[in-house]
Amino acid sequence: MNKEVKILVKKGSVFILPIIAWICIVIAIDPFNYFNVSDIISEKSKKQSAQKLNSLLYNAINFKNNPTNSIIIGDSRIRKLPNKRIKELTGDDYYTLHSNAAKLNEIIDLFWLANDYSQLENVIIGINFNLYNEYAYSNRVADVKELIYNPFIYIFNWNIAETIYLALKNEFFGKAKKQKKDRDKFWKHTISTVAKNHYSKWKYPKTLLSELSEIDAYCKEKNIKLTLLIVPHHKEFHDRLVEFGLTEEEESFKNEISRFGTTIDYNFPNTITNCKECFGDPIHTTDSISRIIVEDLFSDSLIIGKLLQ
Amino acid sequence: MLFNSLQFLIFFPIVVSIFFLLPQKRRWILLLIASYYFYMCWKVEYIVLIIASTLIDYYVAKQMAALTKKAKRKKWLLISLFSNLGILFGFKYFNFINENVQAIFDNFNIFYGVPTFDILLPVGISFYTFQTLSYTIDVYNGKTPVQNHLGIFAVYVSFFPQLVAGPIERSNHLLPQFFVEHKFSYDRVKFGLQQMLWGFFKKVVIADRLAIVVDGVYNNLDNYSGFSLLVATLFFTFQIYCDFSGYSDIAIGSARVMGFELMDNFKRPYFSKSISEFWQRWHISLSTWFRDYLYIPLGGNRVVKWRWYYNLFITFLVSGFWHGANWTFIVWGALHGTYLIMAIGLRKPKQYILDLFKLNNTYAHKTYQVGFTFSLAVFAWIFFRANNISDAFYVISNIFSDIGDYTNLSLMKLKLRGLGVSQNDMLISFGLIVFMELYNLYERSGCVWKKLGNKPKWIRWGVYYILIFGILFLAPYSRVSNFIYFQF
Repeated sequence: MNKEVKILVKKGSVFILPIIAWICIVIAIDPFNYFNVSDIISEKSKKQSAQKLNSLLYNAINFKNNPTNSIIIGDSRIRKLPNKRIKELTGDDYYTLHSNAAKLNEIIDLFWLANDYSQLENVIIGINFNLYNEYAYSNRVADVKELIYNPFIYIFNWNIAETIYLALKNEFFGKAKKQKKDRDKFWKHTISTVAKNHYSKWKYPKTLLSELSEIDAYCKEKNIKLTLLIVPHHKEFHDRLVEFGLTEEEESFKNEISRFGTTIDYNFPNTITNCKECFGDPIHTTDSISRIIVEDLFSDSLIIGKLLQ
Repeated sequence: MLFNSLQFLIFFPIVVSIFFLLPQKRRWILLLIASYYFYMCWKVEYIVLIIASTLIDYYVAKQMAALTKKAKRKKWLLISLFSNLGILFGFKYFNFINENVQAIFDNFNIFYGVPTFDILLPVGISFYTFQTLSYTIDVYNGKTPVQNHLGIFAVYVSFFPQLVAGPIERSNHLLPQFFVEHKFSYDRVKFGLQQMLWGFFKKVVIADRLAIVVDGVYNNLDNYSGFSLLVATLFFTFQIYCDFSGYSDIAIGSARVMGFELMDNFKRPYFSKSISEFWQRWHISLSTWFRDYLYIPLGGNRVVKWRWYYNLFITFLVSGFWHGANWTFIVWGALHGTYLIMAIGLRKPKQYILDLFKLNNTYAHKTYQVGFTFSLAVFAWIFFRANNISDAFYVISNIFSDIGDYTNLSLMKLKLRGLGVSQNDMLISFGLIVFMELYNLYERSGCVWKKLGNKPKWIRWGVYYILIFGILFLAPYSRVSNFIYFQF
């Protein structure tokens, strides 16, 4: 071999070592269980860090590794629906495939992603009026799919690197105590800022509607039980919708989605929406209320919820 | 095949390894196979166009070389021009012209039944067409000897590092290099790899990151106004530079690894002090092509003033049209032509003012010149990026609509957030632009990589690792995107 080639090979081999070392670290720590071959780090630390930094990816990979036939898809509002209680009531294992601040287009993408990994039988989609907006758009599921299909992208990814750091920190130094949120302050913030973000700009979601109808048609064809669930918001939050002049739009939203599968509404003036103690913040119900909703949802006849037809 | 793909990362080392293992006499075969494969990875059928172009120009040049009278040679030159530009016209401009003629006929309620064709524009067609044309024109003018080796001529037309987006090489610069034996040189390979690394960084990390905001805004203009449009336009200014100069760096670097020297394509264009200087620093291989094969044959500046202006304007108009079959590119070219004419026309009064206030060669004046030239370039980029002319006018009329709010920082922050990327991503984007321009400033006093070579190993390797891990970690991973200039 040429002397100069030898120098290149020798230096190149040394140069590449840190890159190989990084690949080994990712496979060993693997906070999202992507390779699912190493348990150096406890599942608890992995889950804590991964859920914090990329709940969507964690849930998607977790679902891919342990698929179920029944799923609940949506944003953080459906996260609290207790799967254990559902199992007790129905005997079915439900998996909650959620993403914080998920948009409807992402929820639709998640449905198809889940459909790739499982023979679905029961699907519950959490959908509220704020998602029913052409402007409410984000495209994180495409990124997640890229990650799932391409290990190279998983290994060399800033988000994964951050999660590895956090997982190691949680494992060896314990999870930092979460500072308790000032409930009143956060409540006000949700009413003023979050509601404004949701309702200040609204456009009829023509594309989303047709994508939803595709899902509906597919579910009918494959005999999948599709349920659309409108979770409750506190009335103060709902009042903001009225202030933004979207009452008619909300009504037509309910009418339009009632065409798909079974649509059950909890977001109308009722004992839950009028009760401040039923909510952690204006749009997230407490654990006990989430349990009540689940019990109502899976009962023979609805007591709180309303079947939209 | 894209440079920024895993496929290329496998393809390139294999080609280079075999290249150095083969004897010089056989290397052209490898380069030809590799180049055709490189192109066919995109669309197999369109290789026929490259082969056709190669055969036509090879044959035409041979015929011209056998003739002594220029008039007879001219006939052959015209055959080459018609066939090469005919292919280019058919694939790139036919539909555009047809649609415009259709619109005119519709205006007068006259039936016009010529259909448009649903064809995909062959990647890099404008580049390799111009490269082969330059060879034929040079042979016609006796500036370059005729090439008798068909295989090597075919490699010249299709040489993979610069096939799809240049630099557009000249035959008397590149062709002789295929006859020289390039021995493996550690220093040269290292230099080539360094340039490729920097090119990848500019493309994958900077350009693709900026593209998220630019595409988000320019493809949904209705949702944006004011400051958001300004940020997106500025981002596009740097996106297109990083995208195209990044491609050129990868092309030049990969050719250099094998021992070939390609011409420089960019020399810190945004530090130009005039538009004329800008064109000496931006896409140099194309601007010199137009200078040599259009502007000078039209008479250049050795004509009466109005004709000089006309020559300039036509050259830039054609240059705009070369970029794409869309009015936006034509207006972009016309704007640059107008800038240059105005610069010439205002030269004397400008000099008078500078002398009067003794501003010549002052730092303030130089800074003003750079800033003004940059602003003109940015303004023209609006047309280049906009999807159509009305979009461009929307941007122009709205870009400063909220200038009164610039002092309201929280509102500006909110607008930045509305661009669809996180605050951190935005900071990283701005940081990367600054980093890239600092690199360019540092390069003014000589090649950065040569300067780096004099530093201790830990600094050198540190820089390499920063760039490599930057590429691996900071690239927006879901966007393996084309280079902008591939569409031309």
